[in-house]
Amino acid sequence: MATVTKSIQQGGGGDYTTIASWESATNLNSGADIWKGEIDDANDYDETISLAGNHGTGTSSHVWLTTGSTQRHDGLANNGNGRIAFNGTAAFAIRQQEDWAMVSHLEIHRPAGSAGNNDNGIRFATAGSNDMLVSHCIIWTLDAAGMNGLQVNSGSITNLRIDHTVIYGFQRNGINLDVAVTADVDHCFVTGTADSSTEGNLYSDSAATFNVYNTIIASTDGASGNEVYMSNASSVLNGSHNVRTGSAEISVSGTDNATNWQDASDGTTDSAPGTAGVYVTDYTGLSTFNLLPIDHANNVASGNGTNRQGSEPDARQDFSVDIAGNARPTSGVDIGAWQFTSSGGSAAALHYHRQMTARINSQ
Amino acid sequence: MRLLITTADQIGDGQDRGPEDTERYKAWDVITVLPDDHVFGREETMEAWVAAGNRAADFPNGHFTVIDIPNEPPDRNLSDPEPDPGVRAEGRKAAWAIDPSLLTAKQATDALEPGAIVSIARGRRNAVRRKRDNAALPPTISNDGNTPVRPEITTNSRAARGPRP
Repeated sequence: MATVTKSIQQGGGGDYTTIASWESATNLNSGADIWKGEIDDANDYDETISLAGNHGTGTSSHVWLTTGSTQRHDGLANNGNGRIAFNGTAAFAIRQQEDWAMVSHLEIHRPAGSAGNNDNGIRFATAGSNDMLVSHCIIWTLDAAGMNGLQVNSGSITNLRIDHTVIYGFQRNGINLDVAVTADVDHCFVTGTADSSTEGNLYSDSAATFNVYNTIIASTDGASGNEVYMSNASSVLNGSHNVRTGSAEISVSGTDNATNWQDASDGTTDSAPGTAGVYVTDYTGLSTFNLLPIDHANNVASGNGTNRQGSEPDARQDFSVDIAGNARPTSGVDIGAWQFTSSGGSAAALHYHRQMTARINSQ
Repeated sequence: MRLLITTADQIGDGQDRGPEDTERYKAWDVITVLPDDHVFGREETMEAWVAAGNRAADFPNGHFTVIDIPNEPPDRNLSDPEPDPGVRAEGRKAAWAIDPSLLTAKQATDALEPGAIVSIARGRRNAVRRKRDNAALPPTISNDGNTPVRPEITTNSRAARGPRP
């Protein structure tokens, strides 16, 4: 088994000039290898990609789309690195539909106006595709339509893993499980408006299971949206050490086993989410968004996580490094995608929110 | 515009994906559409491969061919997958393909050469067909022969997708 790494450079000079041509080469050639495509320039790739090949048999044989080492984001969107900025009308920027397909260290942007109802940043779909992974990505939009950041759309998918990924601006769901899949969500930051009382930043209408650890789930609309909304009687919410910021709303019609919520309303650790919390009225309302203050010591996400290193659901995951490349300790683990460091940790997170505010204001 | 196509079927993965086999490329499928002046990567055309100092015999993508239709405006929809509505929920991997029977015999033969670039006149642009209904590429020049017209390809309109399934 080997890793077959190919460079993607839009203007020539690399192995491929489009992600689509790299992807097609992976599945028009044979071999039980890791077929890795790296975006190696600072361009926006305005493409819709289907990762659907013939290599997905395990952690040592699959497709893997990522960025080269010089183009990796540092946890902040829109900072000039190579990324997917899909401005077309297809329903997804990336569709993962091959066993073990992996996407990492990518920024995926769906610009406002480009997408429509029930569109996605990443869609997972097909019969029998399992063990797909999204790691260290930023997936965002500011579009007003009812989009999902990630959606399992159809098929008998079993396992899905998402870690160290920031998902924001999607106004239907951050992560939507439309089929009975088990999704492991670790060290993510999911925020959006969840635009009705029957939607949520984490959502499922099926007999799905969310295993959620060390994740911040932040509703921007306390009046209607939910942080978690699972409407199926056979649904399951597992996990612990998560932060919620909405005014309610963990609504699970099945089994709710989640414990040790960090309540952003009062900075306490609760056995269950409280009824009164702090929510984000809009992205510009940073004064009410007290989750990530400059004062790291009083941040409910700070140091209140649980160490999951060594317990990664997928051998390709690494919980020892945060979204920005900072090392995580084994004690004093921060909740969310970032780990505080004296340079770049929570400061980067704050920077991120300011960036987001600036973008919203410019809409 | 320059169309990167495959002249071979995608290798199967042993999974039964239904009778339409909608998640794999088929021979003559359009993979991506690019402008006339596009510079290809090393593994996309034989020309670029050899120019980079490699042996022609080692070219890794013998199924790649570029169909070059000079002065034809590229339409981004040609590289989109088949959309959600219509054929089936998730659609085909490619929505458009080349019909080799609408090329000249020489063009069709040349297209089978590994990494070839085959130039065809705009008059043969109707060799580009939509797989769902065999529709030809919409016109880009109006009847007066002068006015550019944006191709009206609405394979994946927002309105057509409708509410949550």
